[in-house]
Amino acid sequence: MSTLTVAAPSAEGTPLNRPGQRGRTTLTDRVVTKVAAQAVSEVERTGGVAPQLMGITLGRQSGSGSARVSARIDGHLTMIQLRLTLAYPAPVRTLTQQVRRHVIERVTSLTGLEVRHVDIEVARLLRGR
Amino acid sequence: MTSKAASARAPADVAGLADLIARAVTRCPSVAGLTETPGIPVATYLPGRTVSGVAVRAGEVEVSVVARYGLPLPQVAAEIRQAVEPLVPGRDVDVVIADITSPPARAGAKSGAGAKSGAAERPRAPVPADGRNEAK
Repeated sequence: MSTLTVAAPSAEGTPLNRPGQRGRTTLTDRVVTKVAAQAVSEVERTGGVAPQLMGITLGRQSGSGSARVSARIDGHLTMIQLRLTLAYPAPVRTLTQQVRRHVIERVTSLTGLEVRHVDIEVARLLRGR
Repeated sequence: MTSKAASARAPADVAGLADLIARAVTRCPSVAGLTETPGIPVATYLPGRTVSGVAVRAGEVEVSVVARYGLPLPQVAAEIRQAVEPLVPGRDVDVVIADITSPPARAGAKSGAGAKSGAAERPRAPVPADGRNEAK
């Protein structure tokens, strides 16, 4: 009788075990956040957002910097929230779908996690980008 | 050699093992460095110094790293495990990927959806053939 040892899922980590390898692999939320932010920047006609403090935008919304991403890992699933700007004469629905698809593809292939959902908030449409 | 001498030497062995593991992990091409995860302290505390990112325990060894952007992270973990396992036969090797480095900025990298090449194009850095003994 052969038994397959599987690590118990930790509270905030993710077991990515394969038989023959001993030990757990844990990813932090920060890793998913960075991969998703990079994926957003790879899609054309997207921009970053100005930082917010207690709901008030600090500075001008110029589209520079990177999109604000928060991600949470739960088991082998991850939930991602994005806040970004888009270039003005762009079809918002098409573009956000493109962003969502690209983020899912990158996060899935680089982290091995399953992306449960990607929430996108478009902070502003920017002219001249 | 008495048992007293053996027990007196034990902390030095732990120190040596932690250093060996740290060196083996940082030699992996897809590892940018060792780190202490905020909230999950992974470190070996030795007299006078600390080895960050490596914890040697009875049945397991835990390492906490910053990975380089590019390679799928399960593969990075496997690489680390392969490097560490020969040093600690029979123990679990737990890998925490606490962070990743930002990818190098490339001109004209914006490509829309369907860019599929990113994962496989990382060049492999040459690994020194006999790096393990260089610091002894």
